[in-house]
Amino acid sequence: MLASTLVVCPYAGAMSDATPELSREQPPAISFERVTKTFPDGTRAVHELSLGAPAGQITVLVGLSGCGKTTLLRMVNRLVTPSSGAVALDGHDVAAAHAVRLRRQIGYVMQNAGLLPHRCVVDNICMVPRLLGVPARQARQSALALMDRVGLDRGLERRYPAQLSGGQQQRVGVARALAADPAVMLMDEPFGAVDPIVRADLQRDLLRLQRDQPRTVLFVTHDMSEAFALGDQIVLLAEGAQIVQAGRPSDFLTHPADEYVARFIGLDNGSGSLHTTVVDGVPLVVDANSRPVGRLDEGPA
Amino acid sequence: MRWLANNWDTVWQATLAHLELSLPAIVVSFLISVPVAWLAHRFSWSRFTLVTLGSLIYAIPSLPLLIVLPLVLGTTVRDQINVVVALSLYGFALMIRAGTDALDAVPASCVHAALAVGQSGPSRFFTVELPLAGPGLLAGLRVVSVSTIALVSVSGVLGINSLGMLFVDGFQRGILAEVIAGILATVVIALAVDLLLVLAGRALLPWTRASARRSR
Amino acid sequence: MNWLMETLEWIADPTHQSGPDGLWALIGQHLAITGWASAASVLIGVPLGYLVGHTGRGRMLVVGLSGAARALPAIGLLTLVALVAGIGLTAPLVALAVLATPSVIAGAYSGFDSIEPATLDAARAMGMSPSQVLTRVEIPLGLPQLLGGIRAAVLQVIATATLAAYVGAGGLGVYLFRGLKTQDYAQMLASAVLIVVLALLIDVLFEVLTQITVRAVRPRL
Repeated sequence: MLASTLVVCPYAGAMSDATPELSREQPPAISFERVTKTFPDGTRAVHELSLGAPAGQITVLVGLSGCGKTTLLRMVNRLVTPSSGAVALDGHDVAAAHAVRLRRQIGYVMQNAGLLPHRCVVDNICMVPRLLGVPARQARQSALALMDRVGLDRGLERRYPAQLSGGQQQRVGVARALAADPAVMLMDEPFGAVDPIVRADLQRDLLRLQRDQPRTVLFVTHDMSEAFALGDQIVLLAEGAQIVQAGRPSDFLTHPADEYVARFIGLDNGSGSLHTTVVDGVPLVVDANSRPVGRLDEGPA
Repeated sequence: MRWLANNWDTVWQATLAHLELSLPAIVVSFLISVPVAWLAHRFSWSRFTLVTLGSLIYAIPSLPLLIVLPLVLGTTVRDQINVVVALSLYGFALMIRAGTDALDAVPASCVHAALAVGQSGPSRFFTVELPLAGPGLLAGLRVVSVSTIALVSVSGVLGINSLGMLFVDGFQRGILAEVIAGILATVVIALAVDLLLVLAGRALLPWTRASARRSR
Repeated sequence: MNWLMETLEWIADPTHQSGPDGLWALIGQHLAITGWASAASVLIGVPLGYLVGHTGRGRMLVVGLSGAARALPAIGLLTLVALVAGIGLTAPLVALAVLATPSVIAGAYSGFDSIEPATLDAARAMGMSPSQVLTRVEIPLGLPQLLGGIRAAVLQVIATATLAAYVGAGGLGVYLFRGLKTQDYAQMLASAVLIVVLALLIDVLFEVLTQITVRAVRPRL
């Protein structure tokens, strides 16, 4: 009896040992190695995809809905298990990690925020630190500081999600993802459900946060202009998560891989054509009406 | 089985009596609750009162209601009208909420579209709102019919003829087969009426079948 | 209104209030039968409903079960169990628990089912373990519906417990059947009025409880 109770599941111990300790000072690179995902109903969302997301940069996965980009994102924090192939953080296969411990180290922002409806703003933001055992007082103080950083009025701390606007909910979602200071952020169309003006604000704030403290960000969107606005790297995906083109934003403008890419980003279309220009020394991508749609960090190659 | 073979006629008569009590109650409760549900749907001030009234009625135990009702109706405890009214009240209580929800679920765009093409009041209700609320109303009616048919039996202890008599008689005389036959007969006619309602729904609401097939 | 006076007089009559079949004793019996049968249905129904709601399996079973239970005549089930188990408390307790359990299962299940998939997804993505998702998200968010299911179950039990007297298990139904036998209308009415009042009181109690829970779990604007 006694002997048998002493055998404390060695498997669980081995699993937790393999969970990488991600460090915010040196965010890891994410790599997908020949991943395939076939769902039980036979849908093949991803087929033999290999892809790298460089450390400390924003990599935007862009494509039409249903192209498998969300599935890819969810492989990183093991919400989806690849049918074959592997996802690694700095060479550590996530499959060897303890899923729950791994997720607490990775920020996740989803469309419609996915806030807990029965917890107020500050409790939603504190969620991961509290799960990690941070004392309530301390977690609340950090949460309030985070509210400042994501542009939320501190007066909202006791509000419930249903009492916030869409943009505010999204900011809470971002704050919640940042609360445990993760080295990796997964963002699944986080700004898709808010109106364009608020979206532009949120994008600007994200870039500011990233400038202050670079993290490895994987960002999913179906909006090419959002990809141009945010991406250090852009990966354009077609159905079945086939990579159509991957590279810096400037590459897409100067060397679109094919007709499809050119059409997708509006290069071939006379009225909506995108081009680069320099305003006040900043290289910008502008559309036919000279409205800027994004900023280029590198000059056209 | 032996008992059933010898008493087939008793069961048959009890079943007919059972239907005589339950079917009018189902029809009456439906006919009353739809207009009332429309009131609750249309005028928010009446909504709380009517839905609360429904849940209050439903909280009244059936046997006591059967005892009290004759005083209000001027009938006797063993009167059929008494049972039908009591059952209709419960049906109404169940149906009022289902009906209100069903009418609420009609997309506003459809109602606006009907308004835009110039349909007014009653014609809009009968050609747009009522059919579109159909699936929800049908779901409510099915619940009402099954529970009404099950509920009738309780009147047996007051001496009113229905399948409930089989339980009373079977219990007093210690005939297990009679009780089982009564339960089975109740379930069978509940299922049969339910099936008829489903078939009627298919005939009257053909578009719901098409969308159900497509979504599958 | 004459009958109402007679009924109230019957209830107020001190000789009807004490003793083994006095008002208070029978109210106690009625509540005890209701309490035990409801407790049994909660003990059986909540784990089953949570299991179905959490795993998403057995949905059809729940729908079928609650439909079938609705078709079961209470008096039929009661007399059936009484013939098998004999006169006494067993029959009403078993029959009432069987009748009430589907409501509880449906409440527990629909509480889980009504939670936005995105909410559960977010909870998992934030790193909640399966047991944390259950205790911190699913159970609190499902509480209003669960309470609704238990409320329906208890109301059904308290109403149907009237029939317990029919198989010799006591409760407020005793007056009803005694009055029926002796054509004592005041006594029948007293029973009816007391049961209705008891049921409405329990209903109000649940309404208050639900309001408190809903406010705690689902804050409104």
